[in-house]
Amino acid sequence: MTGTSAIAGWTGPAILVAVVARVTSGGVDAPLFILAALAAPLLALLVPPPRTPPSPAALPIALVVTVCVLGSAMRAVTDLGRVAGWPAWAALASAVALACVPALPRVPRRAPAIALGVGAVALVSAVAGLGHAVHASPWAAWSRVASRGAFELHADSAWTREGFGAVAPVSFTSADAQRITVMTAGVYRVTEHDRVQPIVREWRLASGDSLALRPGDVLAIPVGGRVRFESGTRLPALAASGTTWADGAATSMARARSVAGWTALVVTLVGGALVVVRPLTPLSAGAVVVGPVAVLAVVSAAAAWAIHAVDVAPELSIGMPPGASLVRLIPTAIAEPWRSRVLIALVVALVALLVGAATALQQRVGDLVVLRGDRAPAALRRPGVRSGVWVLLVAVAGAAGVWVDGWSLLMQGMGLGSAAVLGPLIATGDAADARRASLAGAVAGAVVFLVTPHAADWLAMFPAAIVGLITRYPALVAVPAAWLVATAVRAVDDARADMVAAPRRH
Amino acid sequence: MPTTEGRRVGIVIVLVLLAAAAVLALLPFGAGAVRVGALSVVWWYAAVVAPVLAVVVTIGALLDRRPRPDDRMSPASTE
Repeated sequence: MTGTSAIAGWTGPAILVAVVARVTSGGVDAPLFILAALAAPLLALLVPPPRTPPSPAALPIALVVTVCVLGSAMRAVTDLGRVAGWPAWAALASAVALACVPALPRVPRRAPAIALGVGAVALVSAVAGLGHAVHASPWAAWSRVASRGAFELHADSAWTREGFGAVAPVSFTSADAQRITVMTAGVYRVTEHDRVQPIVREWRLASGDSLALRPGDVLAIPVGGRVRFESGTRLPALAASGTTWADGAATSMARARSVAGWTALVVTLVGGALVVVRPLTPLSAGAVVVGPVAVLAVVSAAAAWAIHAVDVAPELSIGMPPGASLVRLIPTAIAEPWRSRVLIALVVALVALLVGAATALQQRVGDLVVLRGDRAPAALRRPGVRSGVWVLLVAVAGAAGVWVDGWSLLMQGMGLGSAAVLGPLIATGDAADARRASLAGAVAGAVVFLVTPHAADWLAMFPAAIVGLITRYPALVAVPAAWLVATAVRAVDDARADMVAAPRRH
Repeated sequence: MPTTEGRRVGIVIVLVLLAAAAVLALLPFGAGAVRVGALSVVWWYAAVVAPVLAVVVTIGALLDRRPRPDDRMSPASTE
């Protein structure tokens, strides 16, 4: 597998949507996330290919990580399809079909690299087209957002004209006193917080009915519900103002918390990238250049798209699945003929990046089976069996994506990969005489990773902020645990080898 | 083939680039939020400068730097 192909496993719709969602949320987390999403695969590329056959833990870990990353990518595409107005089953079926492309016979080895190239060029073209249509560069758009006061709904906003339509149950906290107009009949719930005990009122409203909200009231909108907001009112979510979006919280404590969370995220992503991206064979000269440039193009384009979305229509991402602005911005902000062009480029980008990611992940699993040599089941080396196994993995990933949200799934996969791979790699450096230590560290890291989220009671002695961070990113403790076990086992093995060798020397 | 030393240097530089972003975000008095041109210092660094530098460093570390025997100049040619 070339480096370019390996990078394609990283730059799928999961990371694309994650970057868009994080940048849309803003704060100091946004630029830090851009850097983390880019640096993690680069670090994995810089780690030399393994000098020894993979350990017995490598294939199971790769399979779990593959299911999680693929499930996250499929969930991202499914969500975007639903936001675009497709039925959920049709969106999921499309994502499954694209993820099954690697199971087709005679898919060339260079398919991931080609798909990544097409996807990256299409995505950059879409962002360039968007910039052309809104007459702004990403940095000009950023500057405009950063100098804005409160985010308010304008008279020409979609929310004040066609209204907001919920694709999933959603709650908004009203920032201002306002009167909303219901456009789809249903049961709408308002939780009032102006007394000591919150009061919940349910309203069965018909189309055209209106409802008065006070500041602090929480409005719950059912699936399929649609309400129109008043212009001039502040957005019910997102950052309070453009300055807050650009710079984040003003207090140093809040910034320290953000950076601590980001550090845990970096550990998780870097370890996950070692499973998804680390080359298994030496890189070609072309891959050395194209791989890093491609990941830079995809991550930067995703960030630029999100900045434009916050500038043009910040309300589009509120109450929607992550990355919804990828779909909703085009009909809102771009007129023809650029609307069709940008839409086509974006669809091509999403399709190519999903196919590229799926093909890269499939090739990686296949390469691990080959590298296991005689120890891998012989049946797994037959193309037909491998295609069948891949379809099974896609089915599991699709099911996982239905039950778990895309970001959690991505973090679970990356975190497990980090827990099982990063610690042992640091402790043993892939040394041939440390295979036992590497395996022990991988098992210990995986166990700690799986147990930690359920051990909040045992962690109660630590401050709540630290417990929250550890349970959100279990790799933060699993990686040191794996390193410790691998180091200890290696020391024991070295001592035993010395004891055995000493009598022979005499 | 890139050298192991080159890869190590590349890894260290990318890690330093990451660490510097955290330091910038934690600068006192909101120094990271100071606008330089169109963007703030943190955005310039973490979204523009550090990513480009990280890509350049990675490419540089992975490219073949090892001198080949044929490329070496003979003692006669240096005179």
